[in-house]
Amino acid sequence: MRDHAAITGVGITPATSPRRQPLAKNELCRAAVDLAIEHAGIDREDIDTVIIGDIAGFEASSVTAMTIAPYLGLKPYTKVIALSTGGTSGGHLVNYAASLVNGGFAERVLCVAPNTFDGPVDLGLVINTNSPMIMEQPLGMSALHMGAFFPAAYQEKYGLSDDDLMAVAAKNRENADHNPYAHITSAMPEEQAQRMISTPIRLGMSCPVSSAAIAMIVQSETTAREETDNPIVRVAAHGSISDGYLGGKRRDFSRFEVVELLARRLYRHGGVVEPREDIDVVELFVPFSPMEYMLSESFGLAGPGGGFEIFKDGSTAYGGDIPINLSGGPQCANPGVAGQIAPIAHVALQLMGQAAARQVEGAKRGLAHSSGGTFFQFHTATLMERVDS
Amino acid sequence: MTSNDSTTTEPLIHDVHWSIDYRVKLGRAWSGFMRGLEQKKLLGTKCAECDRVYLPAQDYCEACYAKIDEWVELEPVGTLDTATIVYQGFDGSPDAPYAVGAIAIDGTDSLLMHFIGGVELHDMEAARARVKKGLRVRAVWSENRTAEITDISHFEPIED
Repeated sequence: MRDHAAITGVGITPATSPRRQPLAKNELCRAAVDLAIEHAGIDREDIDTVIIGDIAGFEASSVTAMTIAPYLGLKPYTKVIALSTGGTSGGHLVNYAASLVNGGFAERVLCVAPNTFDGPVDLGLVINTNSPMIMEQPLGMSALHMGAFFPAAYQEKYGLSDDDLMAVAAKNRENADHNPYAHITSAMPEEQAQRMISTPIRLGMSCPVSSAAIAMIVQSETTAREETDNPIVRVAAHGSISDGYLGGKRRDFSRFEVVELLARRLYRHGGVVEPREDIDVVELFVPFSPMEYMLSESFGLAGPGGGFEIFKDGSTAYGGDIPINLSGGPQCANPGVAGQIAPIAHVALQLMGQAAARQVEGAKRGLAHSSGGTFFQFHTATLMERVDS
Repeated sequence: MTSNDSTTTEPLIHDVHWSIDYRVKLGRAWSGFMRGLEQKKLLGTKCAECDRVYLPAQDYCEACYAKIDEWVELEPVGTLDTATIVYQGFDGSPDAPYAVGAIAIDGTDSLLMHFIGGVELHDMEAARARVKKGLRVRAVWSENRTAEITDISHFEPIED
């Protein structure tokens, strides 16, 4: 490895409902990029590579990522990479940037996560195009109904009530009250939250459609130490994994088996021995709130069925020993690629001591996750660590 | 300039609409599976290396990566593993409520997703108590079959 990769800048625009977004995509992305560059304190002309996230087929133009690059004010001949891995594009942006830096192929990388979800008039119809067509999509399932299988199996296996599944959403919306970039907060009316969509998923357990952009700077630790005033946040380990594409390929919907494998690899690489003790702050991509219980188990923060317990005893709340989704998570802002990179952005800010929402005092190590595919076939994970300057 | 000036900086939103059709090749394994459905047969494939049976059929083994070319006919009967009852559908879905399940067809090593019918769903609590893990179900064939997954109309509970 040539050098460690460090996250030095984060730029977030406030999430809104799509219809309240007045800016064009390139304008909004430029705004996030300007914030990230200013935050890092680096010179714009020193950026050698820009990676722009995309979700193929989700935009009115199929090459949207490439159309954004010219608006970012970068020097001529900057390497432009469009990255499109569906729901994990945002997670992959930072991970890929870190790989380029680690390998010596880039020094200062700008990651751009656009507002991918705010174009389609009916986002659900677009998401259906990435469902397993021909074999499963004709069976009355959109993304929401496919997603319902996981909490359904988890609920049945551990005997949880609908209220138990909803409770974590209330925690996240309350967290979002402290996040100035959040779109949905605890103001959601109870009657609306309780509307049943597809058992056991109620409206309040699912995510909104938002508009926002996020940009991040990932650079070599050597240059970071010279150029930024922010505490150095190292990308200590990262990875991704895929599962069988058809929903029926899963033998057990009550757990995310591939995330268990991903976590083991991540922790081995990043030197995490006891995840619950070694990690201070966690952001998980949970478009449906009960997934937070399930993923906390996949990442070894609790045993099987223990994800609900560590929520119930307050461990995952602000002030607990393993706070999860202090940003509010995807239930509070879900703008597409920007929503997928958001877990990394919020963890990085926590480790810098500059949290967007409530700060975990002295947070040193954090975990961020992103997920995609209507049956959550794809996942990324990023382990970050504050290192002394 | 005109008196319209006060509105010229309001953000504009224009509609963009594409109308595009695709043709997708199903390949050998899925074509064989769909042709089976057309004849009211549930056809899976079996790995000669590890004996795993895949339904829908596939021509390689996900567990041992061997090429598969052995077909097996399965009884269209199985056990419901997980289900969701849909109370809010989407543009193009059947009228809610309806149920969809992941079914472990007897003798297979994967799950088959399909509609679960023959159960009253308007009483949500009663329906959730019935449509759950362990329910034994059998395929109900569609009258008009066109080599599609919907050649099975749905799976219905097997009465004890």
